[in-house]
Amino acid sequence: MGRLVRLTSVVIGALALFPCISLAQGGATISGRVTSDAGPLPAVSVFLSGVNIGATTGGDGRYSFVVPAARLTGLSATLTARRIGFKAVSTEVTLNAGDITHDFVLQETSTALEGVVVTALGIQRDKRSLGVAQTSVNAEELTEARDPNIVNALAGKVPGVEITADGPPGGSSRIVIRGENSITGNNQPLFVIDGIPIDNSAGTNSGFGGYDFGNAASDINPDDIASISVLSGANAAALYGARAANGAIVITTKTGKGSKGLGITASQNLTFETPLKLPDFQNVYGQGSGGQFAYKDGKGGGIADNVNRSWGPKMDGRPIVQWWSNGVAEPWVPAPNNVADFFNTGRTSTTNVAVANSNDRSDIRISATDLDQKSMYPTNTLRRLNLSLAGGTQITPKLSTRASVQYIQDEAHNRPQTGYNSNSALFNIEIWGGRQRDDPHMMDYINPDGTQKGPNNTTTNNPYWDVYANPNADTRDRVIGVGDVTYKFSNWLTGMARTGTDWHRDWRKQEFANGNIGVDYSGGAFFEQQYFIRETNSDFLFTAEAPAKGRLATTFNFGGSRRDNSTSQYLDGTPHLVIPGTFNIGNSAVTPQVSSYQTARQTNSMYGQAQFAWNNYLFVDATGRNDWSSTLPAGNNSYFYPSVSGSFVFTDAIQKMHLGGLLSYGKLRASWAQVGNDADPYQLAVTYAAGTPFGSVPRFTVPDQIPNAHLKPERTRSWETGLELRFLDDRVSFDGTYYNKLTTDQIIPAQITPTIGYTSAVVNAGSLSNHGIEGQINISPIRGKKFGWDVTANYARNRSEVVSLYKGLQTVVLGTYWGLSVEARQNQPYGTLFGNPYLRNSAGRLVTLNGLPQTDPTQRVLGHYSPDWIGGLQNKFRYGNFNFSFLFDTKQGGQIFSTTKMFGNMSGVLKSSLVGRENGQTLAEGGGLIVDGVNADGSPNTTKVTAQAYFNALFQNHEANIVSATFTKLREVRLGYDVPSSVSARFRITSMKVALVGRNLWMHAAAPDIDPETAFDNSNVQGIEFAGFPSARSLGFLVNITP
Amino acid sequence: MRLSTKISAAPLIALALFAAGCDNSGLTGVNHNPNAPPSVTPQFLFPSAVTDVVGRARGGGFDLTLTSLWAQHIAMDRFTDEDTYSIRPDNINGYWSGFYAGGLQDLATILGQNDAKTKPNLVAPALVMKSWTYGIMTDMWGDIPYSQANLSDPSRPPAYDPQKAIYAGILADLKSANTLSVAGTAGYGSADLIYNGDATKWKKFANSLRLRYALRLSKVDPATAQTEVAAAIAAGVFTSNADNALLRWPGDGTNNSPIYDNFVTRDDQHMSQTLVNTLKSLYISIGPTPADTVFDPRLAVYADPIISSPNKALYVGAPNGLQDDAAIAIGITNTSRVGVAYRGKTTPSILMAYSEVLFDEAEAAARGWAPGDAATLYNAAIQASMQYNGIADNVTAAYVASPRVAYSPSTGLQQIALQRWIALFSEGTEAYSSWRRTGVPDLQPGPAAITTPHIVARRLTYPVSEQSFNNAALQAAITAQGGALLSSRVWWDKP
Repeated sequence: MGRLVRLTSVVIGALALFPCISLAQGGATISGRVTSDAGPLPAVSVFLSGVNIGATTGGDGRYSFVVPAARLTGLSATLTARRIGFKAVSTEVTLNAGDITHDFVLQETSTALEGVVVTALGIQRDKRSLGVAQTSVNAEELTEARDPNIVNALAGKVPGVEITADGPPGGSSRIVIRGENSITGNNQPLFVIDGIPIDNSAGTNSGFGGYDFGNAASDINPDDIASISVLSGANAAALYGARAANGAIVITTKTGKGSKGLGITASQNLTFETPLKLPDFQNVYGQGSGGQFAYKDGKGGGIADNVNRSWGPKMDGRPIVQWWSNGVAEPWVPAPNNVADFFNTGRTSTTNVAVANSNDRSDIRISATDLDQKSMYPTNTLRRLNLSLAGGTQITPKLSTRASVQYIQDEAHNRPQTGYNSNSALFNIEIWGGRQRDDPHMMDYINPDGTQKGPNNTTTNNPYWDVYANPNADTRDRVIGVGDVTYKFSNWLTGMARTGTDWHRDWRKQEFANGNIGVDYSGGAFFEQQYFIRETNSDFLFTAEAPAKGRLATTFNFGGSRRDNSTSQYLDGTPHLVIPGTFNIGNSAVTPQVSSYQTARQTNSMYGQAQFAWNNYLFVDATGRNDWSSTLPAGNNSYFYPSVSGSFVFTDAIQKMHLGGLLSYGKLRASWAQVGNDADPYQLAVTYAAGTPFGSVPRFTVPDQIPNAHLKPERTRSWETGLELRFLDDRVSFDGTYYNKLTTDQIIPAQITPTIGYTSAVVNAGSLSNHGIEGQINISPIRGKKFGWDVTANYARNRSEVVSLYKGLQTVVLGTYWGLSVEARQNQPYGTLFGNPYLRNSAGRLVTLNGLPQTDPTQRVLGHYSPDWIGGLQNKFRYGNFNFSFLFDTKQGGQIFSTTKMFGNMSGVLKSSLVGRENGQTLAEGGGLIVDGVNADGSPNTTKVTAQAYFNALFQNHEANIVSATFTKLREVRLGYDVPSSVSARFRITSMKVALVGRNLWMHAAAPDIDPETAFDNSNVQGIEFAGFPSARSLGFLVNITP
Repeated sequence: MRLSTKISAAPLIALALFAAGCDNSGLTGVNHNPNAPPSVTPQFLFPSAVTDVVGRARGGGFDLTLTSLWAQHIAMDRFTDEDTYSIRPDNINGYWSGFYAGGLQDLATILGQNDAKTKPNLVAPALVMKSWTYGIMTDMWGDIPYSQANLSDPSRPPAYDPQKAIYAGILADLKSANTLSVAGTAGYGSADLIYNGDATKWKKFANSLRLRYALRLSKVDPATAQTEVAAAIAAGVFTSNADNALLRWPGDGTNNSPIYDNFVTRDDQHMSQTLVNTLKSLYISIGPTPADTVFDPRLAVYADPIISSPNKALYVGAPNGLQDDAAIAIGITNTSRVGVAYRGKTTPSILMAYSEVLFDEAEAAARGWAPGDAATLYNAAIQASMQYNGIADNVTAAYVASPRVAYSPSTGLQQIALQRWIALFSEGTEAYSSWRRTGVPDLQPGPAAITTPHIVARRLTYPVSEQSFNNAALQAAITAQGGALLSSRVWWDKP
């Protein structure tokens, strides 16, 4: 009876699945069952290559199909069972009359070369079917030589991904894939966790004074990540819509699936950090001007004692009154390590404990991570707690649900002020610190009455005052929650509904003690900010795997989503307090500064995708998406964009292409996509900005930016083509892509002549093109059982061009610092550095006046911040239980405007400022230099000038301070040992791994004094450097235990 | 069956979401800005405009670090860029866009939205403030956008108007402001930070400004100058220091005098040797010996004694236009700071003072363009300046009687010009323009001045940002003026 039912169901199933073929008579039936470790395996495609007939397994893992009599040639054919996520298995069958039964057992695959990848909307796909470039990074890559910021952990590992990190712990990192698309908008990819887009905004400009509060994605705990898919551009990410024009980082978190037993893992990572590179300081001349110095009051009362530059007397031990010596002349000697000694050895500790469990219906995972950082910067700490809970259950055979929630708590103290800011300790010790100022004396920064004690009493704080008297703190509480239900309507139709929210509150407070110098905070001051950000995305997705018709398999996805984003910010503070030391708004001595700002936006979307697979070697995908955005005007707020892509595995289609076994796999792919993008909120109509009341008189003003009631969406059009090849049984593999993209109708705040009454206008204008190549090669020279060696190299070059801008507009200035502009300038690559060069005559000679080089008042292009190419090279060795890996990462080309060089030479602290004072500080002592140039009349310059005058003349000569951005870093080194189970078992431990790990151990850079990688901030303004926080060289160890 | 009822929730949720996704009618409402109002009345714009243009023109940047340096009232003791006429482009871009996209746009909005006939007392003060601002701007930059400026249409970058046309426009606007102002009709009330809604005083300010700008044409168009001067005086100008156009800063921490805010964090602008030495040269002898000489009494108000000397009456000015290291070498304790009266939290910014009006009237009388006795007006002008600076009348009487000050018809125009230059302390734009028109005093460029030929700069160069944003119009203006170098003269500035 049971057999009859089963047989009937198979027949009915076969009838249902193959209505056309079921009518065929007189052939042979091929049938069988496909299983895996977990039991029967549905949705496996079983087909006969060469004959091109096949079927898909049902819920019981069974398949069956009929080969028409005409095809029964008596020849041998290959029967292959293939399913996403499993290694395909083939067998030879002879096509004779009579039924054939063959069962398959499939193994799950884990290699990135073949197998399942997570694509847009969380749709799992067989990698071979993708018509676009996509790179997966597995979990070990993120935790083995870990960086607390997962963005940094991607550096050098994914072709075309450019990471720029800021120095301080918890600082922000900028990530750009295949160059910038948007002239003034966001150019960083969308971050998606378990299908839900999350916020990656970065707090506060860090480059030009201020604090760096990090990019929000750095909250994601690497320990909780199962895999990361990098969707390299609009082509791969079109289904994510507007925000995916810059690509997407799709993160899948770990689940308890497959866990058995206790399922506990614990890991401990401890690293120590020291500055990778500090400026090269001179130690010959001390503070002062014109070779003179004597301290009296630090306000100019002595000789040049209000001058913070190091153009003073030679530090030869001569007796000079110093700031700490109470009028007594003390030996004038250098303090060569005053900057290095300012920094501590940093310490970063990460502890993770995770428990995972599962049975045949449900799974759960709980993970707790504690990140505890003590920075190189004195008193700076960061503590981050990540708690995550993820679980899923199969409620009925058709209904399943999953949910996860992460709680993240950050708490930081005393983040360093960076950049040009009179409250920046780095600025006050590096640039304006006289070379004779020693830390022991400087650390005595406070008088008994609480006022500041320091060497300068007019413009700059004692750096230790900055550190100890002006504390700051910030916290972030964040919850990311997502839940979904999936219902399997039938074998071929599945529906899913999901909603998720990323919510966080950031609180920040900066305090300044009474006695601050440089900025008047008499009485003391504080500034407090609160930010609330909420991003909710709800979506549904129907997936229909249409019954295979012969060699054709089709899958349809149809879905919709709604995105709600809201932000609120509340700022309060006061520059003057009544009672020093009580940092509360009620204690303000003047009208307190308070403000608030809210934004809200909503996007509704509908989208669909159709996938056609022909014989599992030819694939065509088409997608379409329509968005309705709240930020565009009613008539223009709906926009549709399509994409199409194809993949052709020619080695499967044409056996000869295997070239006699040389080529194990070959695939061609191509894709064309369009993505639309909307505006920021409130760009359509004029609103008047409130000013602070003048006494009791309220003030409102016309804003500086003129809105645009007729905005339309901007468009990115992109096509790419790629080739994947694997040779010699996959020992060598290559994946290369060429892409070309153009973003038009950009929504830009175009700077206009302010004589119109506004400094900028929101316009749809401008197009920016990018094209480039990227590729990755994997080689496994040695694949022994005991010894293995794998090499991975990647390379990418991108060329961008600002094709056009708003009519009559030559440039869009992204930022101007010290007269140098970072621009999107017409017919130039994006990120042009535009500034003042040397004044030269027609013959190209420097023109001097009074012996000094002159600056040409006409600005011109001096460089570009984007590199010519970027690349990474990773080697992994395995010998028995030992493994060793190292990763080099390089950026070649591009320029940086180094304000450390400009200010450091002007202030005379850098070694390079010794030019012209080899024989003495003044002309009378025999010092000075003769600039190789000509006078205005063309006669050679013969006037000798002091080094002090020379470097002062180079201030805001931008050309003189442009340096190469090229660098190569030894990004990661790891030496690991997997403790043999025979040993670990003695400690009742299932497995144990230990490793020595290092990051940024070595750097080669052409630029003097700085790490060219230092990010200016998280925005599009790059290519400028100012006394940035030094990047860290870190070294430590890792222990990973599974009890 | 119960199970299937439950599980039907899944497609229902999906459908609900689908419906939500399709409902796009509410989207426009989401984009209503909750942070700022879509319209405001002129009472809120006018104080913003006034504080913006005055705070900028009389602030630490445009005044202390530019126009007062070029008038040689102030000298830099380091960072000598502007003092040597080497202009930092960012600053000039900022002043230019600050005027046009700041206060001038608020004023243009008021003028565009209010009818002169129905709201005369809202329109007249806006016309006066617009004229005051454009007067400063065209004096510094020559030809600038004026008639087509502030039209709020990014597709129409304005042409530059010749300075001659701008002057005609200013004089016409001031004339109509005088006609429009009606005492007793509602104005800005307490939102009028200059005159607290007093229409009569706005009339006087309009006429006094008209006098200022009419006289500026004395060399280039004496006929117009004469007619306009006479008309302005006849219409009624300032008659006492109580009429002064002043912006009084509350000094509440958020709205301090911009000069105060400047000196809180920097100490690099000191008194110029030129002004200090001039004030010293105008001494009064109160006894037979050199020790019995008293400097121009305003010196002790304008300047502080140097702090490196115990002598409380030792005033030293710093030379203008030195190389940075040479300026530093002098030492900031060895030269005088700006006097405390001019750098207090509540120190008013002067838009125009009674003394300037009297000097202008004196000059008009000396030229025979207006009634009155030049000597009397000259003495009254000095007295007004002295009174403003808190100097007792008996000291003033001795001062105007001293041979170095006493009016002499043969040198009258030079004396008037010199005293006006002195009285215009803290109004760098006016002192600089007065010097350019009269050549008094005989200012010399500092040794490190970058001008070719080596002279005191005669105008500001255009902001480089205009090259990027409105280059065709800019180049046309430069061509029309025969060049716009630091050494080029604006239209009214004739040798």
